This record gives sequence, C-alpha cells and structure tokens, in this order.
Amino acid sequence: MNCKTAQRQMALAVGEDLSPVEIQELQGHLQACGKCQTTWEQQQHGFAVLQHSRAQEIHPKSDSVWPVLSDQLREREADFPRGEFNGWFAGLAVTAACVLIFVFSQESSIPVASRPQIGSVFGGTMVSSPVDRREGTPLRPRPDAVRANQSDSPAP
Amino acid sequence: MKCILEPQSQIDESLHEPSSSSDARLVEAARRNDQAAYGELVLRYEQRLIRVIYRFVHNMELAEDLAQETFLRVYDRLEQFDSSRRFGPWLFRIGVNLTLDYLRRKKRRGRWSLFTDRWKEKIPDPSLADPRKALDLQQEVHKVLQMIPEKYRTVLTLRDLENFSTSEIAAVLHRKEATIRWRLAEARHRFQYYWGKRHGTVLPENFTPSESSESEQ
Repeated sequence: MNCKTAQRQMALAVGEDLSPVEIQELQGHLQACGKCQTTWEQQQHGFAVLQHSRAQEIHPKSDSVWPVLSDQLREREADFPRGEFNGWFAGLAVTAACVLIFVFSQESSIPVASRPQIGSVFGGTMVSSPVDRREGTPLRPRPDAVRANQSDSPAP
Repeated sequence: MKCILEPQSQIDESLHEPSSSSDARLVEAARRNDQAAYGELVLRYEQRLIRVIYRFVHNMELAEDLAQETFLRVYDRLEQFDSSRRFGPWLFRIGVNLTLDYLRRKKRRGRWSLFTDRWKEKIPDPSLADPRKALDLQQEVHKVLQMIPEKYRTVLTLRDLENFSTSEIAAVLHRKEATIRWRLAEARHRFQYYWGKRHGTVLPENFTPSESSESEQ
C-alpha cells in the first residue's frame, strides 16, 4: 500500500467505513510510515470536530408538520378530488391545439391561386406572393386585383 | 498512536427505520385515499427528515417548510413509488433533492446580487476566521462545509452528521456504493484541510483539494 492509497483509506477508517481486511492492510502501512501516522492523527481530529457538531441537539419548532399538511391535503382534495379524472381541462386544451394545427397545416398546403379570396369581402383581394413571404414584407393588395374587384362590384 | 482497531464511540445512534413491510402497507392505504395512513407515514419520518434538511439549510423554520413540501410532493407521486423498494430512501431522496435545488437557486440569486452590489461592500475571505465573531461549533462546521463542493458535502453530511450508512446514502443519492465511499473519503479530507486552514492547525501532509475525477476509484 502506498501513502496515497493509505490516506484515502484513513479517511474511511476514521469513521469505521473499512472492512476488517482493509483495516489490517492500513495498520500494516501505518506501523511502517511515520508520515502517515501524523496524517492519521490529524484525520481523527477533523472527524472528532464533526462528531461534536453532530452531538449538538436539533429541536424542531413545531411538534409535527402533519396538522398543517393534512389541512393542505384536505383543501386540495376538495378542489381536485383524487381518484376522479381531473384531466378534462388538459384534454380539451390538447384537442383544441391539435385542431388549430390541423387547420393551419391545411391552409398552408392549399395553392395560392385556389385559396378563398378573403380580402374581397373588404373590397380588395389579399394576395401573398412567394416573394412577399420570403422577404417577410407585409401583405398588401395587388393593385390590378383591387381594380378588378372594384369593377365587379355593382354600381351604387 | 491510537490503534485503529479500537472501536470508536461515534456510531452510537443506529439508523432507526420503521419496518419496510408496514411502510409498504401504509403506502398502499394512502394510495387508496386513506389520509390517516399517510399521516402515520409522516409522523414516522418527519423528525428525521427535518433534521437532515436542517443540516443543509441551517434554519429550522425553512427546514420545516421544506419537509412539508417534501411530504406534499411524495403524496403527489405515491403512484410512482415502486412498492418492492423501501419507502425511507425514496422519501429522503425527494427531500434531499428538493433541499439541494433550493440551495442552488438561492446561490444563483446570491451570485446575481453579488454581481450587482460588487462595489458596495468588500467580500470577506471565507477561508479566514473572523475574530470579531464568536461562532459556536455548529455554525463553524457549517461554514467549513460550505467550502466543500456539493457532491462531497452531501455525502459527508448524511454520513457523519446524520449517521446514514454508505449503502443508505447510495440508495438516497441513486449512486453506486463505491462512488459514495470515494466521495466520503474525499469529503473528509477536504473538511480536515479547510478546518485546519481556518483554525490555523496543522494540515494533512501531501493534501491539497483538487478537482480530481471519480474514475480514480
């Protein structure tokens, strides 16, 4: 056993975390190595400090957390009874999200020419060209489409 | 030299744990909405859990709040509990993780405030004892523990301050027992090193804490 291994073993031996065989090996090394004997004494000192600290009493402020905890559980039970299915809201939200995704995916797959001319309701056709979409420019009515719409509409 | 074969008196408190079979029965009852059964489990483990959390946060009120939060989480996750395993380590795993998460969040907030207030006050060197303050032993130990990286500190706290066995710590932290033993040795070395540095006592020979890898085990 070299000194490096012995130091690691000492740190375990001080808290009785070594097997009897390991302790015997370590003891053999300690009898032959004065340097490690000193380290062993220092290790014991550090461990004693921890043990003194551990011995100090810790007193909880309240006798038990159960009275408060049981109230909290009862309140939650009243709001969301355990055992019943409480996932309706989440289920509805997921369904709504799926429907929206489906609708938008359908809309984006329709060719531009065959899309309903929603803009015509407001007196002009809203057309988005691929160029507009690529460059991110705002959608605007195409002048010729606006003119065509205006000519289609009955005279006042 | 004191012979290392002499039994030392520190392992005086055995880890008192209620029988796992009755724990399993209570868990089953709690799953069927029996709050009295869950109350029984809480009463069995709360004192120990509060003590363990207190060792990390050093504030009794906060320790009780975190213990309460732990029991709420455990209640919510009862369905996920594997009945073939012991309830205690599972409970302590949730409690210790909750506490460590709390401390990490607090540390992040602390770092931010240090950054924003860096010119307002001088930060004292934590490796030097402040002679103006007479801290009691527990506070002093706590300060030294704060200088040890979390993964070692957690093992040291559970083993040397709360007397969990290394196999129990392995179950709580979900690590191999060999890893826990390696971390324990490293943690004890580091504690001795920083304690000696802070109190001007002799330091262990040939030891300086380093970010050594666990693959050395």
